[in-house]
Amino acid sequence: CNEQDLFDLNVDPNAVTEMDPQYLFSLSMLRIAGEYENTRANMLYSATMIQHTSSLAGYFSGDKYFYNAQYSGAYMERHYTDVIRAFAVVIDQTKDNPAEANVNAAATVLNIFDLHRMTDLYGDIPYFQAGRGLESEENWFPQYDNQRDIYNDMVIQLRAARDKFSASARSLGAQDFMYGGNIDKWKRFTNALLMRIAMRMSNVDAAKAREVFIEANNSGTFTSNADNGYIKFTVGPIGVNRNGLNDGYWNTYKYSNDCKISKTFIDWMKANNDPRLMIISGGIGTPADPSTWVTDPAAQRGMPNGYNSTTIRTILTGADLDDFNARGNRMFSMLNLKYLDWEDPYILITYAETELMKAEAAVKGWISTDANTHFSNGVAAAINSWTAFDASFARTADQVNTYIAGRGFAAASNADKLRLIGEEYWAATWLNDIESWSNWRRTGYPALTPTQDPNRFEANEIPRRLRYWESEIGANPQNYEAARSRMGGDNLMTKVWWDGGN
Amino acid sequence: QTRVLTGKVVDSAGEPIPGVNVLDRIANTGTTTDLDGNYSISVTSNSVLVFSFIGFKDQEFLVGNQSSINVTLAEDVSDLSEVVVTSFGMEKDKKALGFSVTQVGGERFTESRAINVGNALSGKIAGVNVTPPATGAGGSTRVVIRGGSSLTGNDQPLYVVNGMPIESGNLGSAGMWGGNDAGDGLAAINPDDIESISVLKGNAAAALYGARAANGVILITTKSGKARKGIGVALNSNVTFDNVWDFTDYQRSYGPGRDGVVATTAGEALEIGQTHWGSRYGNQNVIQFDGVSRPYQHTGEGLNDFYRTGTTLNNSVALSGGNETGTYRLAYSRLDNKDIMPNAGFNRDVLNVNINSKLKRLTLDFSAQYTKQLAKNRPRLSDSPGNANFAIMTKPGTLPLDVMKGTTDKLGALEDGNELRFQQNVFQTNPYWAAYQFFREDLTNRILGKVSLRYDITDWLYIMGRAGTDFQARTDHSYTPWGTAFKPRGDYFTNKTNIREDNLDLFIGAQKQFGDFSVDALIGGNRMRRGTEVLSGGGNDLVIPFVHSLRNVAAPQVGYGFNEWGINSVFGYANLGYKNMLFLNLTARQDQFSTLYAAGSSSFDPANTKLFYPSVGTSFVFSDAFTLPQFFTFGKVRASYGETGGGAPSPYLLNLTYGLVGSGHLGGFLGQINNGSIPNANLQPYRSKEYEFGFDLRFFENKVGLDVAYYNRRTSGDILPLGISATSGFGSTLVNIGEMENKGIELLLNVVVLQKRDFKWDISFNYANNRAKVLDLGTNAKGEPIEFINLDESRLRRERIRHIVGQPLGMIAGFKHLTIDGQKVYDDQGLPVPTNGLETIAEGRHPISGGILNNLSYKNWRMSFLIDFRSGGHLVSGTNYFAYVYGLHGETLNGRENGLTVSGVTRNGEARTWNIPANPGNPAEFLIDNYYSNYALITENIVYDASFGKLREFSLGYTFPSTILNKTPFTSASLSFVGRDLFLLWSNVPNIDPESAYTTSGNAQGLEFFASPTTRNFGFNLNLNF
Repeated sequence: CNEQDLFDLNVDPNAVTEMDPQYLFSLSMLRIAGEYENTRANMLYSATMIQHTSSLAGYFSGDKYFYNAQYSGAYMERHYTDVIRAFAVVIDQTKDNPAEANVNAAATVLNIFDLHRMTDLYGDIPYFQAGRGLESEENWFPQYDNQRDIYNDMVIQLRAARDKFSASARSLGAQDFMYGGNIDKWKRFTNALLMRIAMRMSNVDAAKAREVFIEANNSGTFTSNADNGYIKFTVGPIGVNRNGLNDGYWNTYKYSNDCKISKTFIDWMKANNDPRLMIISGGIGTPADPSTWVTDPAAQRGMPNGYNSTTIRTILTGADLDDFNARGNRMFSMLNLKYLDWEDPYILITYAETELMKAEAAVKGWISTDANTHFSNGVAAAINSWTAFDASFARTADQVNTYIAGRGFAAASNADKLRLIGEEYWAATWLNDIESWSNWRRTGYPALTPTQDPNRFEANEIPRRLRYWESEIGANPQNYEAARSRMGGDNLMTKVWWDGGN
Repeated sequence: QTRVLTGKVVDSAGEPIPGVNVLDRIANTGTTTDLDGNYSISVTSNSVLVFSFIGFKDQEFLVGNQSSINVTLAEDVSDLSEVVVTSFGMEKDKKALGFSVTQVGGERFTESRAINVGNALSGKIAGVNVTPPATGAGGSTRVVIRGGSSLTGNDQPLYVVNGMPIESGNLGSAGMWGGNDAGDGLAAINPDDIESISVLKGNAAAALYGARAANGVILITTKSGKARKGIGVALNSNVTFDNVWDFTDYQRSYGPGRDGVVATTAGEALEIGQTHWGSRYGNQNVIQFDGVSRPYQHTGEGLNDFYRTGTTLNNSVALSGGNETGTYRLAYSRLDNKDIMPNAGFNRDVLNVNINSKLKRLTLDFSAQYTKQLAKNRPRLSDSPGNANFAIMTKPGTLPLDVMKGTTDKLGALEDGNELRFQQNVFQTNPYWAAYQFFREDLTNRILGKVSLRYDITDWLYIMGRAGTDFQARTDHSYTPWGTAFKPRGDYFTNKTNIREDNLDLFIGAQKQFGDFSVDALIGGNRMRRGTEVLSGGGNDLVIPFVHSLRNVAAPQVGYGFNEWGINSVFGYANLGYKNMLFLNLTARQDQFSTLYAAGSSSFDPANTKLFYPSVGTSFVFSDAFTLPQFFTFGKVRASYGETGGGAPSPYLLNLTYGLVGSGHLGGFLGQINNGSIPNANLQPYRSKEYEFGFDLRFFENKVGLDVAYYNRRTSGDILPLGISATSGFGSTLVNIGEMENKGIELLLNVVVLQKRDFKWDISFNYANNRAKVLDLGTNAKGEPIEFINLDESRLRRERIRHIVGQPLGMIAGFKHLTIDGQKVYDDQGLPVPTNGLETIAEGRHPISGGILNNLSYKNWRMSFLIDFRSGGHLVSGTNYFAYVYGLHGETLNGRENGLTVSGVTRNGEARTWNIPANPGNPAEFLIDNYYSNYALITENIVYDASFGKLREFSLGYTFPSTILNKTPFTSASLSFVGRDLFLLWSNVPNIDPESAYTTSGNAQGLEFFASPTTRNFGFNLNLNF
């Protein structure tokens, strides 16, 4: 028999051996918003830890400080294989090709975005060898890199990528679901990410933080909500076409039947006459049945964090207890379904955040522009940004200005300014709860009262990180163990480097 | 002076024997008897006639002046020219073989029948280890011979039907995330069609089937027609019943609740779900999830109130006949099975044709089988979505099943048609909804065909060509119904799959006697091609509620899968004999694999695609060479050495490829890396080398027989999907590493305990002890030795099945209870503290297996029973994990009233005693539930010794005497009572069957997680011939 005839059987007639790197880039971008890990790391843990949302159901583990291995490890479990590895291939294949400079730079930026999120969630993580198994055997069992080294390298990578975007290289065009190939916006996004990274370091390496922040600011970042880092989604037809977080909250799994807006957040909005109250809240009632929704702002009521349906009775009395016995958690304000559509954008970084960060930098004296202006811009942008989700979310300039004025930023002391910035950052990062939680860990704002559940995993304290994906204990034991001992444990209360840990 | 002598040859029952050799020893002339046993031969008065026929004692007569000699041949108990079927379907005299082969007659498969032929082997053959199907009739069986050859590759044997390999693989199984067992290729075989099954265990025996036989070969020979007068008709009717074997031994003292108190609102009851940390059962009424208050008492309902009695009806009819130039057999059978899972079942029609024709020098052999199988609603297993077993095994004690059914005709549904949820986890499906509303159906049409043509060039030289095909076309339809809690809009999928395997053989053989020497030799080639093609359609989200149709999918997606691979081989063998007592068997083969070709890689070497391997065996029948004491009837020693190899991966794994995803996004395209495993262009087949010694001794006219084999097989350079850290972007990579060893002994002891007139009792005992050991796993990128590789884990995700250097294959690793100086460590609340990493806990596979078969007969009655046992393996029990967490486990009664006192040390090693409080109503002082949840999180607490003994088969049969049958058209008739899996004789695992497993595929065994419960099976078998 002819040997080649036999060999030809092993050439797959239905696959290609080369693929446009832009196509790989595009899929990885969408997968940042994957349902599995976003419902777990973001919805179940971060949003409840940061007291944006609250639930009586035990599987919402974050505000009762339970440890659920699968929820805790989910982001790590999915993103190295779903996101990072394809970015690594794109970056490698295009690194020496000037014509592909834009896909190379954009892939680098989103790769760093995702790894940054992961190091903030877990601390030391595989970074330098991440997703690079194809390249060499040495990368099959990646080392866990020290978070400080990761931070230093992220800055280097982002600056190089930012300077690589080129008008003469091939445009990303329709392959770019964030900016449609607009490289100016990509540069601004890169600087916004650098500012986020800089701020995160501010408590442990202030000099470096300042230098990175100023450089990024000078290079130019977001100037309006039109620059917001939003990944655009559609109604389908398959999972990757859809906003995964919203797939979990409402459209497929309907987990938001089991969670409500936190009392902490509702009370804060009410106290400040926040015009977002009826954006954030969809009213009180049964989510699936609009006829039951009570949308009177005054009637809105948040669910206290840290209770289950038995223990919550101990704090409800009289009519409230009767109401609870009759309606259960439906007596509390629910999430607004208008921002939970499949086709709603998925938020990476917004103009509101960059302005609030600038306000903080100005208060700290890093930059000379007016903190008050930045604060006002940031808060206004945060409120106005909701029109990207639903036109009915528009608020008048008067409403916005009245609210901002009511915050009393200009007259506040520097310390109080930092509090106000922190609170507004918290309000501005609704739905982007991983970021919200990270910023809280850094600033301590807003001031949150930990809950008291006797079944808590380690302590009645808001966790400082998530525990690693447990699979790594078995699959990569030596490097896991090295990271665990270097960080002083693999616990929810172990602090990451920028939070004062090792 | 010659004259014609005639006569008739019959057996001891008076039945004529056709084909008996009648030889005139003096004149060297001969003839054979015809269909009626008659013969005629020219003789002289000096002639000495020798009558010989296989299986009977020779008889000699001096003719003298007789004109007619009628002969009754006695069955031979001393002559052991036992004919067995070996490679290529050729019949060989067993004593000429230098390797282990065990043959089991078809009747062993038709009495206490298992629907799946693989399962029927359980306990019958030393060294053959069978894992029963995870789901009923249509499920797949796992068969491993001598522990298998590969660390992580396929370790199941090759199945060969009438000389041609068939697709026997598992077509899909449940994994850690759930799913269902999609059946295996063996399900297509009807036990009634089996003439015999031969098991070739070792490398030397398997060498002629090539690399795919590296795990042994199971040769199935189907029945063929026999020359006879008229048409023979055989009818068989079998009906059996399956009852769920309920092993649960849950506590029934405390009911659903949380922190020692019961629900006070419907919402709370929904949240509490199956959690049995409430108060002691009592007379009060307690509100349930639906707002209705019901007695706070255990309903008394168990598994058998949900599952039904399964029934299996298998009827077959066979017509056969023929004459000197040809025989035929035509058989049809129909199997109707209702599974224990409501609404599930399996039907099978098998039409089997066998035609043999001999025209002078030309022999034609044709066999074909058409099978149609329909499996309905194969139960979902493992992780909970759609798994009724999970929900029913953990159901709230106070919740009546009738309530779970709902109030409408649509079982498991609310009045609005959506799933009725009695607890809040959307992924734990209502069992009635899972059983009645989920839908899955697969229909397989399959043809197995073979034609072979042999031409005898001379009386000692022949040429033979064969072509065989196994083609199956399968259609799967499945949907998740609209309104399912975890997928409210449902889905619908249809797959059409074609699987084919074609084999072409051509060989030239010679068989010749030279004085005392005999030669039987052959050289030839084989071309094997296999392919699978899948066309799939469907998607998530239906448009119109409750309309389950492919056309109602919102955005249907089309998928297409295709793969093809092949092996080209050349081979030869020679069997040399001396005086029919000393034999030498030689074989050699070269295989070349398509799937080891790495297109476009500069480091690829074509030599890597080839594998050459030889074998040599010898057998010496010393009882023919020496004069032995009278009681020593027969003695043979044998020795062999064989190499084989294999492990060629699936197609296309050696090339990195890309594909497009969906239909893009917002005008852009989406591309992915197809490979989940890192490709390796330098892969080579693995090699395995085995030597084997054995002896076969018979004493007292065969009343005692002992067959013992010792083997030692080493496999090196295995192709492993080395589990790597997924943070590298990939979960595994294929590498040639590792060395493993399987060594063991196999023992078969047959004893005729009693044989007196009408009574006979014989016992057959088989025992095998296979010690598999991982010797080496190569080195990592840094050159350090790799200590272990990970295989799989269950949905608990806290354990791994691992191969660890220096340990048996498939060890269970997990968390142990952390200790300091041997003292158990507890945290500040007194909860058990697990180790920081995974530790080796126990061996996952059974090294020891065996069976004891008893046959008793008295006049027309016969009884047989088979005790099947395994020993030494363990399992990680997901069911027991949840039994602890939900407070269902009997042990969770400890400490419910007054708390539990534990003694140990703190994390700092200081001795301390803790009281785990159980004060109902105060969550801060009700920690007993936390204690047991944490207890179960320590893997070693839910790992159990899975050794067991079972009464696997039982049958009691009656053969109607001819005095009765004479008045009927029947020539023979028998009726038997049959049973399978009737008693568990010993076990150490609480709440579940020690054989429970959700998957029979893959090398990671020892994981248990809410499979279908096992069953007891009994019924009747009626056999009629006329």
